[in-house]
Amino acid sequence: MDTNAEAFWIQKAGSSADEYEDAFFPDVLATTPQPCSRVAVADGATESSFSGIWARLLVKGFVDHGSGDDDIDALLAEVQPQWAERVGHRELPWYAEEKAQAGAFSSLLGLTLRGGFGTEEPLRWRAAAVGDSCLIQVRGESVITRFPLEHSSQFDSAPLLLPSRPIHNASVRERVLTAHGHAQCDDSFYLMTDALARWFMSEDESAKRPWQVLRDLNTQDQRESFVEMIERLRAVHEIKNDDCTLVRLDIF
Amino acid sequence: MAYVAEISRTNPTCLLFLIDQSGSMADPFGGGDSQKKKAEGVADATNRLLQSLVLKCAKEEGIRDYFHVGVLGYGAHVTSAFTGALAGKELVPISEVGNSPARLEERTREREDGAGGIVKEKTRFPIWFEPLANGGTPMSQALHRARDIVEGWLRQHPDCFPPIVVNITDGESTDGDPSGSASALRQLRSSDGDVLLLNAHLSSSRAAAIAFPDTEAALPDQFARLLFGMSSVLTPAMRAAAQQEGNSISDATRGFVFNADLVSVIKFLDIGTRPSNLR
Repeated sequence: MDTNAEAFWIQKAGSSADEYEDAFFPDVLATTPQPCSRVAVADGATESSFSGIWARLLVKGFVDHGSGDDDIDALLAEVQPQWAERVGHRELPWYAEEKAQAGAFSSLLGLTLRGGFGTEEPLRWRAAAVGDSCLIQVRGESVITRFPLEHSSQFDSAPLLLPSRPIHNASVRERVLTAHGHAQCDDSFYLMTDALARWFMSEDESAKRPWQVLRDLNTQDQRESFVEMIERLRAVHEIKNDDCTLVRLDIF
Repeated sequence: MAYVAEISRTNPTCLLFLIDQSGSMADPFGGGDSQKKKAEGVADATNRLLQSLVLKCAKEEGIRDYFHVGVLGYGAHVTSAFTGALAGKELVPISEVGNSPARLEERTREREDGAGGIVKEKTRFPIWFEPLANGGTPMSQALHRARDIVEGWLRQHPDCFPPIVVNITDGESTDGDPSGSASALRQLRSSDGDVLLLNAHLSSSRAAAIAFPDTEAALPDQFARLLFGMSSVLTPAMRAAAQQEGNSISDATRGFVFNADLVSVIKFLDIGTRPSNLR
């Protein structure tokens, strides 16, 4: 067995590409699909400042985390000082200073695969999440895992998120969710930020098999690109206008 | 469905504040600090609402113009209450408002440190408006002028989230019953719904504060009942915001507060993901 991971993204309509505040890692997956056993996506909150930087630090920190576990406390301890360093101690206007003091916020969803791949052990997956970025596992023509949200009605615009300021750590310590399971050849994992995940679940709830279009992105079976697909869905109000990110991980 | 239009830089909406600057505002304020005059309560409420709006739109690169904002003062005259660089302007992008407070006041605030303790930190609080109390209370005229301004905005932005008008007053109109002017204002609409009129009543009465009632039954005087009657029914999202702040609400809940503040329903206007960690 082997894996192939690939990333797709588009910023919110009306925003510029450098205002994109989702993040994914390894970031090379947007241009060079490749084998991968640890991936992450994150979604920086619109209403906090410096949240794009924070989302990028979280996904990189998660994937690079030395011990390879899902210890979010340790991750925060490692990346919160990096965020503070990046934001710095510049002289800021009153509003930017107030927002910097409040800190940035972001969701985080990380997936790790273990075993399989030439070993005797069965292939297993583990995931950790805070907020509303979601993992979907598809086997054959069925969704077998939805995590951490399980239905399109569970999304709202005020999720609990990971803070860049340690002062807020207590608010999330009890709210890190984890899940695990088995994986096998021909399974696909989809890591999505909220707008896309909500669309996916809503389509699935209507028996429309949304994985079919995502599965074929960047193949000869699917002429429409990810960007074209999202723009079409936005035009007919089937998806919320928001940054959209997908990391697809196929096992073969 | 109404009140679902996206608020964005390409489809901004407008917020217009009407602030009572009449002579009666020099009387003592009944809510909270009894040393305070109503005019100070109005200035404080307006400055807090503007601060909250600016912070909502502030990003690392600057302030995004999700809103255009106007402030009409009414007392001896009905006119734009902005001073300094914004003097005389009726509706200005929120970025200009954020970058042009009349002054910044050094304040110290206490905050939980996340480990069970309290930390004190210095902050700069923006002041756009100083207390003013002079002349009569031409509320009907102010609402009429507001209608003209909002109508002009809607001609340019017919598909925006419906404009919001916030009237902060002691309710004692001196140019007749303002109900008709208020009703004409509320009847303006974008393709997404009717204009919203919210009223904050700052009274000398020591009666208990009331936020977002759904009936006039418990209101303390005729001014409060008049303003309640002029106020729009809250949108579903505003009801949810008011409820999250601990108020009991119903489908008939109106955008009216008595000696309380309106920050919660403004703070929760949806421009994107808002962390629930920040209440």
